[in-house]
Amino acid sequence: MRLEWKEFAERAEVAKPRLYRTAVLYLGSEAAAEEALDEALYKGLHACRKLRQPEYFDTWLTRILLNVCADEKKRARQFLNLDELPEPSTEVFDALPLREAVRRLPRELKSVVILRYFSGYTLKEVAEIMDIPQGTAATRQRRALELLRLELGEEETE
Amino acid sequence: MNRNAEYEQLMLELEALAVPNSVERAMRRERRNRCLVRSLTSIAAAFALFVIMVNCSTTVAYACSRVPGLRELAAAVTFSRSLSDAVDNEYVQPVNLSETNGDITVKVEHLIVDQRNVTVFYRFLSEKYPRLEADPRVLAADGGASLPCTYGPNEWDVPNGELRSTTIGFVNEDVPPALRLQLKLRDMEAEEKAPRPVNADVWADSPQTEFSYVAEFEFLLEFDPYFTAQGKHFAGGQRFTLDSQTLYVESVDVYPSYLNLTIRGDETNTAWLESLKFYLVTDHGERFNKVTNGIVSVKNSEDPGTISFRADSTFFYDAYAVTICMTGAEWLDKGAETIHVDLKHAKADFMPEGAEFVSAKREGSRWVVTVLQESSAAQVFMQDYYDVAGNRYEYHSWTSGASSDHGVTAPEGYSYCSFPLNDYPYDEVWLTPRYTSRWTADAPVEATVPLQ
Repeated sequence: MRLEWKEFAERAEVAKPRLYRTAVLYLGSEAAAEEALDEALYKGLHACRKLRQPEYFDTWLTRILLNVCADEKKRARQFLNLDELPEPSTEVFDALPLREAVRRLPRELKSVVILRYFSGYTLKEVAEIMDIPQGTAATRQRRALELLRLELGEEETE
Repeated sequence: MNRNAEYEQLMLELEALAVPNSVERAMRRERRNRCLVRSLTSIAAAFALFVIMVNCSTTVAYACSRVPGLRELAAAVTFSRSLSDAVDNEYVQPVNLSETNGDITVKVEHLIVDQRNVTVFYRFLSEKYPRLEADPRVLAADGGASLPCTYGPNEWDVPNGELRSTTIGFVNEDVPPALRLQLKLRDMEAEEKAPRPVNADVWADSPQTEFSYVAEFEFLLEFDPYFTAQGKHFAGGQRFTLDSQTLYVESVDVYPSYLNLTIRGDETNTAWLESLKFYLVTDHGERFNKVTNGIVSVKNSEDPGTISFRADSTFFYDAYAVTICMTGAEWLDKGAETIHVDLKHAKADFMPEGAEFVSAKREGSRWVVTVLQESSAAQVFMQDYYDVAGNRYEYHSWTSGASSDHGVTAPEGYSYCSFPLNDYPYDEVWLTPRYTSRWTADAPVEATVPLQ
């Protein structure tokens, strides 16, 4: 048990900066991101013995984090009437600073663009984390870049 | 700035973010939950009980999920490692009490409660009074008698709107199911502006100050039985020797808010143990220090050979054993509980180690006694003193400085301490020393106590 915890702690320490950046962009605040990271790591630690293939540790833990972030957004939405713009258009996103524009993307597009361009995952990994076909991930990536008017490489790097 | 430049800038900002210590916090939280489950499994119907507890107790269910405001709470408890660990482990009873009186609102928001201690977290909101302080008082739940406990605010000068706290400690009995916390609020800004009476007599015992309070609040605090049950008692029995005196670990009590180490001296000892320098190390190698503010030790009034010391708590650390590492002590020789002083000739029969008797001066109806002692140490004499017939007196004021009345400068690390014996007509007095001798270890003396 202690060895498994130790291994989890070592791997989580390495993954932590990337996870935190992901949460900051997803939730838009460092305080909310810290709470989400706390919760995700706790859930991960609690469930780490169920992880059959340790080579998927990073994508598995990122998926947990995204679920926690999504829950937090749902919870926050009950109290605040602001969040993702309902019908996104490029003009609307142009008016926003990049950080805010990313935060306001629809959830599916936001997750892809954050994971791909800010957290440094490959398109294949993004597809694994989100449990979607790679082609779908590529389509969402393209749509997100269009909305943000970002000209970044779309091709797979691996 | 175009979008791609903005992207580069945002990447730099994200990379510069300080990453929180979430892994350690997750480990602690998981450990705490395992402790809880393990202790429950020792009860026959453990699983059923846990389900019942979570379903029936709103606070436990809440603590098992999330406690709002933990981040602010964590910032408010940095004065105590034990309370910080409690917050890290979400060991918090949320409450939501609010009362408004005139221009002031007081909100009581969280409690950290265990078998012996309650820390109440609250805030003041007022536009009229920028600086408020509270004089707390603790009453029985029915509003009647004061409860036998110690209490006091943990911090001063907290700006309005920010979280502040008061700790209520029960030394010889458990925290009751409920109590009333009375807060009388003082307008500190008005008090500082008010003209102060000039007191020519610096040694006079001033009458009890009566403050003019701007508002009074009272809150009924009801504690969840889950929290007030938290505390574990471990019998000791380990024998060890310090400075040729034989001592025993009587017990170790581990509460979430502190660890209580009780030590008993052997009847054959020639001195009472008065203070102890020590730290604790768990079987996992985690170190815990003795508490240095608030209540640090409690002497058993019925048995001067038994004394308790407080340390940061191992409660949330899943320890199976703790080693007490002792590095120094202060002793009070048996038979030397008072020191005879010839005031007329300014001569003490003996003095505590490291202190010198300097002078005794008659000033009208009082004597003013001056001693030289180490600056870093507490006063060498307690406040009570006795005449030849054994009548008890107390002094209530003292001064400490680097120069004596005659302008002599104290050696480096030492200071002159003076105190009055008011309305004392006699030429001899019996002062009560805090200790008589000291001991410092060459290497820590260790005693290990199993925590299971």
